[in-house]
Amino acid sequence: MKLDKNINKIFSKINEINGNSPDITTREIKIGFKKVGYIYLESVSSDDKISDFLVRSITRLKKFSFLDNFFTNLYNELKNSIANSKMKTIDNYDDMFYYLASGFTIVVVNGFNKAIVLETRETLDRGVTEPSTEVTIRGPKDSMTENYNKNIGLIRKRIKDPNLWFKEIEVGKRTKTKVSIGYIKDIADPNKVKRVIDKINKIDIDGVLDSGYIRDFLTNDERSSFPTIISTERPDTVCASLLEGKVIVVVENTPFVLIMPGILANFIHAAEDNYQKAINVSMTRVLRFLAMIVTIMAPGLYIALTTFNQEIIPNTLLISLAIQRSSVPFPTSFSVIILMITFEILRESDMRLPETMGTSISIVGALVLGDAAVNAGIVSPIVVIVVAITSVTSLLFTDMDIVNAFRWWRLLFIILSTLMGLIGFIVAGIIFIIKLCSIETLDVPYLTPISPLYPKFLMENIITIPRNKMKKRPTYLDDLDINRMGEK
Amino acid sequence: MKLKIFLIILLCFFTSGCWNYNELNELAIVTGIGIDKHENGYKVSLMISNSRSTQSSSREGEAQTTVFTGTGKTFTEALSNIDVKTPRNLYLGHLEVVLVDEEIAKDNINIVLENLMRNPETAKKYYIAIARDNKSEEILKGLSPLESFPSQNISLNIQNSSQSEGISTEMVLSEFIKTILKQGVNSIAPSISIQGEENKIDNQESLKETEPKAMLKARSIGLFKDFKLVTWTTEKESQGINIINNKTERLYVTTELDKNKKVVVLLDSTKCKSDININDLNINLNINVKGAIVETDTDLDLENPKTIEKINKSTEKEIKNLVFDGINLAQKYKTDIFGFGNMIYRKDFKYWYKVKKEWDDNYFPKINFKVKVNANIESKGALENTIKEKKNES
Repeated sequence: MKLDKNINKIFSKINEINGNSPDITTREIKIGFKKVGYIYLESVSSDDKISDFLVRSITRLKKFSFLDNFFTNLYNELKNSIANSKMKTIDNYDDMFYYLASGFTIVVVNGFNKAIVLETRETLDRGVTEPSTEVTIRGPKDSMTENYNKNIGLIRKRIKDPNLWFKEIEVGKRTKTKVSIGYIKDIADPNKVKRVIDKINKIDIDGVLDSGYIRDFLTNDERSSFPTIISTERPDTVCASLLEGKVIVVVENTPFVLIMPGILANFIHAAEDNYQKAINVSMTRVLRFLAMIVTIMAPGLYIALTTFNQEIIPNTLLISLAIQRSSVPFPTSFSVIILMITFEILRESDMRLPETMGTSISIVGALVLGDAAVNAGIVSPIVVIVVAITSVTSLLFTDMDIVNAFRWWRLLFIILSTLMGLIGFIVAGIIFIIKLCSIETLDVPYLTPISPLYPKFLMENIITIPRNKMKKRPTYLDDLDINRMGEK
Repeated sequence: MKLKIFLIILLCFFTSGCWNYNELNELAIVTGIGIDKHENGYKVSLMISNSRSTQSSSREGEAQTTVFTGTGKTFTEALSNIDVKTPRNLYLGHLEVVLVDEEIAKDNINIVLENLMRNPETAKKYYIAIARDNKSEEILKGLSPLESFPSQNISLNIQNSSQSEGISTEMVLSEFIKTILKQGVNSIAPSISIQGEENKIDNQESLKETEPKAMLKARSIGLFKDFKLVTWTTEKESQGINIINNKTERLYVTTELDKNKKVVVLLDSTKCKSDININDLNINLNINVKGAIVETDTDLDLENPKTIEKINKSTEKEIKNLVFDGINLAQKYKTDIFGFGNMIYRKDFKYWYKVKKEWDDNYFPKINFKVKVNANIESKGALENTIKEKKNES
């Protein structure tokens, strides 16, 4: 819709379309013969900037008010007087609303069907803080924020390569959120980049409030619990991925950046792994791998062994387990599931509650889980140990999605073990492996480099090797440039 | 279609599953079986380890065991007699020891083996032992101040006395059956009995005393001929048998050099190689022994290589005596427990089938043994010389 020439008409139109929003501020200034008006949204604009630069500059233009090219003069004057500002001219209402909501001020002049927009944005972001979800002892301590430009800046600051390209796309019919796809042009596989861009171009959605909205459009694995896209708030992790040849997606208003494609190993590793001595990290990674197996399989294995295949348990242990169980009325699987649900509820409540109340919850939780349930004869002590080990090992992983994915598979192991003992446990294991093998993102299988096997990168992914020995980028990403060291 | 397949798979789980589902508290974990003769036939005693106990004892990992007994014409009948008395399912998967009464062993041990081997639940890795001088029921009830589970008390007792003393021998059921089924070998089995006041063995109160009134004791080996127990060995004879069968891990040998000059040697490696000459039935035994001096109460000059040589010589002699003790006993009772018949079977099976039937009675007792022992004392412990000798020097 074209702009009107009459500024009163423009004002009334804006109020009409926006439903007389309380934060729309309009003002009219008479400069000689001309009437100049400006509009801004109080909630997103900085009053100081407007009165300091804009109003002062407009009133200075009195002498030109009789000239025909007043509009151009106004444009030039504003441009010269406002430091570091973005300025544009627009001529329709749709653009006007976009800029208004973004914190721009619209200057309209009576008699011209054009308007000047200039940035008077109020900073509504918090500053760069320490990451809260992926804490490290060693390594950079800054994290992404809700500010889109700052996020890109944090990445750009780390990779000063002209080949680091960003492609910006606007997503969301109502939110008009900026989404940009970042990649290093001469490393990343152009095919993968093109597919990500195509997918984002096709997104038809009314609003994007977090990168989580975008993620579901980038994969077609909504029926799988395993995450295939890494989301991180650490700029160093983002940059490491870019250097590997992965594609990143930065979304406005969220500190979480998406990285594609993700393989299982990426979710098991932590950001800190890159900064410590390789030989020590290798040990930690083996532990984490072990923890993954324990957290998925421990309750199922316990049920299978104690209710079907007792012959595997050593004699003395079996007798002590049997005596512990003698006063428990419920089936083993039932008490395991009850205790697991209790733990999950506690974890959820701990996460939602403000920090000040968290400690009281954990005290109650520890008492309920640990002592009271055993003394009341609802569960046997060994079940508490099994569930505790399961829960503690699951907290080793930083990615919430993978922790919750393990939860589903743990349940499958429990159910099949309850029905068929060790045979059921093995069936569950087979289903688990088949599922893992069948996932892929952007043509990269989930279990790479184990299956398909890349012997060279097995060492790098399962354990790790020192940086000075990491000569190649991972070939399974089809990078254009696979050399980390030496000539391209 | 997909849904149908899914339902079929689900049905498999729900219809076939759970047939062997057992909660732990529904099981009566049998860790020991004792079989005695009874006027009706057999009297079977089962030791059940997870009987009801107080909260405190379960925390300490202690269990109170109960012994159930039942009689019947057959082993199975006796078992089902017990099953009626217990509220839980009898679970034999963790059986640790089977005690067979001396009378049954002398009569025919096959009755017991047949049932135990046929039962698919048992792991066949439990010890078999003969209850000597006492009823197996009494031995099962025996409590020890050191072990929480009486069955473990028995099995560890046998293990220890066979590994460190060479008096007894470890025999698990599968191995026992294997030797019975092999060509030309006869079986042996350890024995166990009560030492002290027999009626106090199952008394909890007596455990609280510093010196328990009654304890279990591993005794020497019983020699079998086919399915029958023929004789017991003395301690020396069983040591000899264990040396030939390569079953000794540690063995203390006391030798006398001259008069009143005793040296105790610990043999930590004995290896016996046997070589048979079929034509004239001569068997050469080559025994290599390594050991250490652990005790001597005289003034020997141990720094002198000649003394060591002397000790070696007398150890060799001592071992030779042990070995011949064992061989003589076996030849006397005409049972080839060493498996020389099996060696012949492996060397020349045509010849073996000719002599097979008469091997134990006619051939084995006539074998000439030539024993060659090579002893080598390698260590003197923490002392270089004897204390007395050192005193004399200075």
